Amino acid sequence: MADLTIRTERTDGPDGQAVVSVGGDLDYDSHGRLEEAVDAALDGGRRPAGLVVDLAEVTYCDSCGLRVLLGAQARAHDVGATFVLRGAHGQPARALKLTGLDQVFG
Amino acid sequence: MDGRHGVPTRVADVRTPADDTPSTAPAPAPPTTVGPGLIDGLDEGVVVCDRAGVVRAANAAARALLPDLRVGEVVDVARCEVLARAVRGEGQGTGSFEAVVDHPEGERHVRGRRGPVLGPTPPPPPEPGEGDSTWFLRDVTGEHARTDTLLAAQERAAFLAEAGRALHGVLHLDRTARRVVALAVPRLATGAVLVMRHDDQVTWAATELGGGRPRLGHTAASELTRVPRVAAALADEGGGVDVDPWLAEELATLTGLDAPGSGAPLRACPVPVTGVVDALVVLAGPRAAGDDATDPEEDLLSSYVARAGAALAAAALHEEQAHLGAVLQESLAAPRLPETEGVVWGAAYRPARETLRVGGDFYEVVGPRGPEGRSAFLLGDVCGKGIEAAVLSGRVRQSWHALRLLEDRPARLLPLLNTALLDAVATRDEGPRFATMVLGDARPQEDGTVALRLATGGHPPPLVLRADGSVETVPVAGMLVGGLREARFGEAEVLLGPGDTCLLYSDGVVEARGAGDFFGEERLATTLPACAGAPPAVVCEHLEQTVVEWLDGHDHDDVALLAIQAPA
Repeated sequence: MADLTIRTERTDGPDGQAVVSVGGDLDYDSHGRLEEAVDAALDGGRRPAGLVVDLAEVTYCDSCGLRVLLGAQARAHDVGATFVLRGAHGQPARALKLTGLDQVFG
Repeated sequence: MDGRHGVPTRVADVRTPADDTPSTAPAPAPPTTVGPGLIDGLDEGVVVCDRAGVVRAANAAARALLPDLRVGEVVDVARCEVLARAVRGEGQGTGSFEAVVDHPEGERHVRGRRGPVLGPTPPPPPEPGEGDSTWFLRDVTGEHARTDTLLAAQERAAFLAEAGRALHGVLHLDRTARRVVALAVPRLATGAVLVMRHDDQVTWAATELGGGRPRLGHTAASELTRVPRVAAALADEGGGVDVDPWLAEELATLTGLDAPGSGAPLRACPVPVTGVVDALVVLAGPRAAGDDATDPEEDLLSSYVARAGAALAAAALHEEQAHLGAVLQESLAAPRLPETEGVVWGAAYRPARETLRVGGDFYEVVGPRGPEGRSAFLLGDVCGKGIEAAVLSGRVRQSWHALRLLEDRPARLLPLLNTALLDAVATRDEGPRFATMVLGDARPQEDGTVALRLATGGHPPPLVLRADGSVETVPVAGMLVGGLREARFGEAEVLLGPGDTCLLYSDGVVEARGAGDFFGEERLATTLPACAGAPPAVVCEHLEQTVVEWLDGHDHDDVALLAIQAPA
């Protein structure tokens, strides 16, 4: 069991991106923190043109984690930002494929 | 009495030029004639004694403090024993003492210390008992009173802290009630009875004379009509009130015990409990007699009652929540599997280790309906745990039960369920709430085989364990149910020969993590052949056991298994 780590980086400018890099276990206990990080990244003050969630370091993602990702995409679209999910491999990639979300996040 | 030592009784009278001399400066007179003006100007009592213990001089402050002191006389052992002993060098320590002395205005606390000899010869002071000695006396009665007040306040605070600790986190109504009365005795009262009404029940707890574990009992709330004074006191609000002796009789009627405190004064203190419970503490004994609102003991009593109320409220809420959890658990408990002709069912369910023990996994099986005798089944998983998961999985099950009456083909039923769940979420402005599941039906055929129709949404595909031990994965996939409007779902048909078993499982099986690694699909597939030919219940039990062993005590998600078999 690996603790969830979240790191947010931003690039400035009109095509500014907020990249939220996630690591560890994204599950029932920790998913709320990613939700908060996504909210913060899409914060009105410095609204980015795009939100990227990078799962490269995620070791486990359960249905709560998937729910946050689905919510993040909806949130990004609500504020007119693009949404990109990248880096998933291992169990998180299998979970995305099993639920068909790999096609949704394309 | 030596006239030279006659000392003016009023401080104002002793104002002489000598007063301007610093007290450390040598006085002009020999020690036996220590200027009354000098020492009388001091707030501190000053007593000069010679080696025989005869008082040579005493100032006004000293005589005020020790009215029996006589200049020219030996310090009266009987009247002022401590000073007498100190003068003779027998006191506690070498140069100081503290004593309680009789005084016309009541006991005084006197603190004395030996000082330098006042006289023409400066210190060093003589050894105790040798030569003259000078004692400075101070009335410390006020300090003592303040210290006593402080100590009493500390004692009350310590009692409350201890009571708080003892009551905190008990979270069990009966045990909390017992503690409330046990802690009140003896500090607050000689006897205590707690009566509380919650729902339609009355619970009482009472200390017994001679100590021991407080007694506790329950009775119907309707019994309160027999004890109108208790009932009225229960409905009261606010601070403690003295009550008439009839209340004691009523308490005896209610509890079947002797009246509390056997004739001692009683007072009833309504306990402020938020919401769910009416409670009342009746205290007996002399300690309960005070009625001064500013009395710190009164304050202590109300603080104690407030703590008792908070503990009872917490316990009542906790029990209510636990009851809610149990009711939910019951409604969501693994359903009974039907006995169906031509199909055998088996299942296992192990909820995650959570307080409410309500997990996100669920399964349902409904026996044969319709001319084709199809039995319908469903196994799924909603995101989350606890109440939230319980509500969502309840919604999924109810929707499935209703929709399958209208549409029995799995591949058509699943999109309907998807829409129903999405609509339910949309009307509540909730975030995404979805489920993953496998659903289908089983139709036993005349040749002993069982035809399965399956559809999946976002769920691990079922496995088929053939009678010969080979394992196949059913090639079917689909998207989350209730998460996406445009979701697509796959369907498959499977024919089970005699002894073949189809296994539906939740991701808690393959995602069980022991020492690092996931249990995984491959391990699942290699575990299954050993179960070939076993009844489906045994297959599920064996798998559950294997997963638990794999977990090796680690936390896990829910595990749900459903096996469908064509009888061999």
